[in-house]
Amino acid sequence: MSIEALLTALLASTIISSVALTIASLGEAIGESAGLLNLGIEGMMLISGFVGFWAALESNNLWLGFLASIVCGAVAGLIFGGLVVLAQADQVIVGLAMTLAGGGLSGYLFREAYGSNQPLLQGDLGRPLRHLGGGIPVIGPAIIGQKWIVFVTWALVPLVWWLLRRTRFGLEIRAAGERPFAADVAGVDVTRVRLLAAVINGAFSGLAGAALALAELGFFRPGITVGTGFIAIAIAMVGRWDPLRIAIAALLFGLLRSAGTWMQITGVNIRPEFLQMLPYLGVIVAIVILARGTRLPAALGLSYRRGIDRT
Amino acid sequence: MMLSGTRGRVTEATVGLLVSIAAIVIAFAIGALILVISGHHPLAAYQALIDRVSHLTGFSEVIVRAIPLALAASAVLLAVRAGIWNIGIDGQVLVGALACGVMAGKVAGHVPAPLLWIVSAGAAVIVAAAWAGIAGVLRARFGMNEIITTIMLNYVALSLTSWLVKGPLRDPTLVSPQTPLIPRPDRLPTWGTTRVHLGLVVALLIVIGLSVLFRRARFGLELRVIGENPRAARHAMLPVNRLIVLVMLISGALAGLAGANDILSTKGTFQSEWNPQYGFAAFALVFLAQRKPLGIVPAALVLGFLAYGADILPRVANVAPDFFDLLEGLILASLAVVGVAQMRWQRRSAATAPTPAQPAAPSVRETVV
Amino acid sequence: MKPRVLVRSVGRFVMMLGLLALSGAFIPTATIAATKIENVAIITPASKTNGGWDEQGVNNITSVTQKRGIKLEVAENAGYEDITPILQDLKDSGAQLIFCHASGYQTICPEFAAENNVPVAIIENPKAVKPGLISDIETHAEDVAYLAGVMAGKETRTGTVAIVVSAEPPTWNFMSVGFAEGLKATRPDAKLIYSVIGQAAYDDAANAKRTTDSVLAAGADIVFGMGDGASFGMIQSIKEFNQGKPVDKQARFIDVIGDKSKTAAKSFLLSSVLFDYTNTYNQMIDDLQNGTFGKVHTLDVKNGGVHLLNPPIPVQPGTMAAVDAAKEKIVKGEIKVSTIGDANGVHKRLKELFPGS
Repeated sequence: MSIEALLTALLASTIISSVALTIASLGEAIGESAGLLNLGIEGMMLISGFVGFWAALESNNLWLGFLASIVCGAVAGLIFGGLVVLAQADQVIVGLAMTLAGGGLSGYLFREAYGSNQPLLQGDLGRPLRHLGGGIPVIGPAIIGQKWIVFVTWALVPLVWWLLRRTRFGLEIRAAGERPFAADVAGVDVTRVRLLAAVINGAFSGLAGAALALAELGFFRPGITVGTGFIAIAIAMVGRWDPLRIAIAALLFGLLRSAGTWMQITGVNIRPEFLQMLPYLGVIVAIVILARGTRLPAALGLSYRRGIDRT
Repeated sequence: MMLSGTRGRVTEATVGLLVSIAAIVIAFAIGALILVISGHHPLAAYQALIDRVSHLTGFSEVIVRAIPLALAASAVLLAVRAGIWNIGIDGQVLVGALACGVMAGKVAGHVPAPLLWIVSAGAAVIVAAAWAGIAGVLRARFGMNEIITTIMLNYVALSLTSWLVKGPLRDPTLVSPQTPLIPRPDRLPTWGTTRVHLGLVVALLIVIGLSVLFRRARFGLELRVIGENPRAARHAMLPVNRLIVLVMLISGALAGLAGANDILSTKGTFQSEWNPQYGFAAFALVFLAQRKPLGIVPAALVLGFLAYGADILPRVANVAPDFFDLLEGLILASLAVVGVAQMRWQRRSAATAPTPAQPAAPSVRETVV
Repeated sequence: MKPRVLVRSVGRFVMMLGLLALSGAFIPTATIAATKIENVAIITPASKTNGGWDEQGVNNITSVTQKRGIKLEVAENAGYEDITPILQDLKDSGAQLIFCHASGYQTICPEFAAENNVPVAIIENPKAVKPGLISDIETHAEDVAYLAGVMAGKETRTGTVAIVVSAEPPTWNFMSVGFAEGLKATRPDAKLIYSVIGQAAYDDAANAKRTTDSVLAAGADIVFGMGDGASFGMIQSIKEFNQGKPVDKQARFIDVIGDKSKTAAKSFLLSSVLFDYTNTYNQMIDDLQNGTFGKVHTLDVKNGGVHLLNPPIPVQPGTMAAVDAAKEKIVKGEIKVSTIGDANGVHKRLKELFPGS
């Protein structure tokens, strides 16, 4: 087994492990920029993943599954937004509630629908670049074999950057997250902006669920996200709400996760439990080193009531 | 939030109770709707559960389930009062339980049972407090948001305890990776034929202790100030960072006690696959208790009831256990919403300065990331 | 909460405690006699449809009880928390024998049996056996895993073989070592990759798939996968890997416990280590009726309790002959397969066998 082939495998695995995480983190970054701390992504991913899987299986159409996941995520985001923006309920509590309810509902519905067997999706996502030549060693072969969801994810990175940094709406989002009172004074409809941000956040969670269940695995099982939704919150913060930094942070997380497997393959004599701690310790260290001195959006976690400046 | 005058205080308690009951009713109603849609008979399912709970065995099992939840909820409540989100209960329970199992295995047979309980629960408390203290120090020293650190530390705790119990700390005489089984006579004594054990008294004492702490002690007041207005706390020259670390230490200690409770009573051993995940339920519990220590007692019974339901209903009513996670989530969401209405009502009747509608928020802002 | 409320709730609790204390006066006296068994139960940690360990146990006991016309209660998804309330409920609903279908239940179930006078069957804890009360099942799956290793050694084209496990419970550990020894005996120059997905990653299909992707990329062409729900991730990984590849370049899968030859894995399923508890379960129920319950039951190659699935896909000439020869030697006792249940022991043994890997 050549070093080059091993490195290619490591890189390919790194990319795959970071896809759903990147999408979910980008969504969380949009929400947090608008002042919404959503701890419910895990549950939103799960229920969207289930709904997308169910739709894809029933219709025998993968694309319809993706659509269903995104719509389901957006609806979940709307519920979250409605509760925390309109009803002004506590964000942390509602987020935890969404995680519990989304996980519970998806597991319940899965066992109701497919109690006696584990259906697998027939279709497979295309690999748009598979016919290209290898190009650069290691990087080339690791990339060309990927499914299109990988490239969609990478396309989302500049798109979200453009949305947040170059559009009026992005400006309003950040204003709603930093100084909602001032934004209101300047004529921004803070409620509408935050509600929209919550819906986008939800739709991204939905796509992340679909990326996992439909694109990567080809099936759904209860609890398949195994904490991705929570790690996404950390990655959004490590990346300081900047899409490019988030994408890199998610890749690094994927790298640490894959490195554990890789070291086992290359026969490094370390107990697997220690290898499995790496990515989580990595997040803590990354925050200590990278994110020091960064401020959270000033109004993160705060509800906004017209006329009251709480920041 | 505290209103002046006895009448105001009584109505506040009543309203709190009504809000919690309303949240439970809403959650169960939505749950019933989902059961109906998926072709079950919700009344039959709920009936089967209530039927069991109305017997001594079922009722006592609800209490057994409620004990660790109450302890974990105490851990959450203390932190929440100070505006700290300790999402790391799960990890703290694990490290505490492992420490307890190991210590009990070491001293079993050498010391009388009560001493064994104290020593091994003490080990759990110390180790879990230290584990939670990591997040406390990171918050105080680097301003790191404890939501992130405690979640990450949960995963690390899972790997770490798993390695320890598969490797250096396992009972070599058993095939299954676990600590030595504590003999029955050395575990917490139970009442009669039920499995309700001494842990109940410990949990009640802690709940009462917290109540006294929040009401009377200077420390309780300081916690409230940090939780509700950290800026003011700093202006008032409170040692905010020291208090944050202290809160995390105590919160972790209580979570460790929840772990020790299970090892010393129902489990008798720490197993590598065991991960009770009390954290989320504890959060639901704290808000169901209206963030009041004594409210933990009835709220723990409700959550214990749900946990027992998740044990029993899958078989008798063919309802998947996931349904009870859904119910917990619905209760939590209903509480958040109904709680806002309650807050508004109180604000209107109190007509005082804006009360902290979201005790967490200022604290989240205090951290950098 | 206000003083009055406090007094009231404390009062209520004291009352309840009083009730509980009173009830202690009545200690039930049940005896175990040789009686007809009409009602049994099984408790499993995960879903009875996970295509693995849990499903196998439930399927076997279902067929046994159906044939005998016995009522069966199934408590699935019980996890590794305090399962006593579930056991209690099974007992209350009339179960005369409870199959505790997990090695993780090997201490809690004997305890429950002793305190409630309900016979239980446990996994891999022979020391706990008690006449009339506790029977134990020892599954010598390592012998069959050895045969699977022989098969892999004969069948691998790249010379690289992988073991992928969702966690490291005793049942998986026994088989990992058995497989490695069989491989070593057949193909000493082979490279063996051993990869653990997670701590209790029985259902972590996503990381199972990523891990399998990696071992395939590292050149493994046969994957011995022990996963339960996570196995579906391994299968999807191999399915994608094989897409568009000629048959002789495809990777193949050796499964454990279930027979997935009719699933998506059918085109690359080389074999499976099959467990069959049917005879053991029947024997236990007979024992209980005859008053001879409380033994150690063994599933091994000899009595057919564990066996290797005949390859559903074509294999090299000579492969089956080698497997059969090894099987004969195991039955005769000429080959002794190690029984190593603890994770550290597995790592040590694998390093001994394949120092280079």
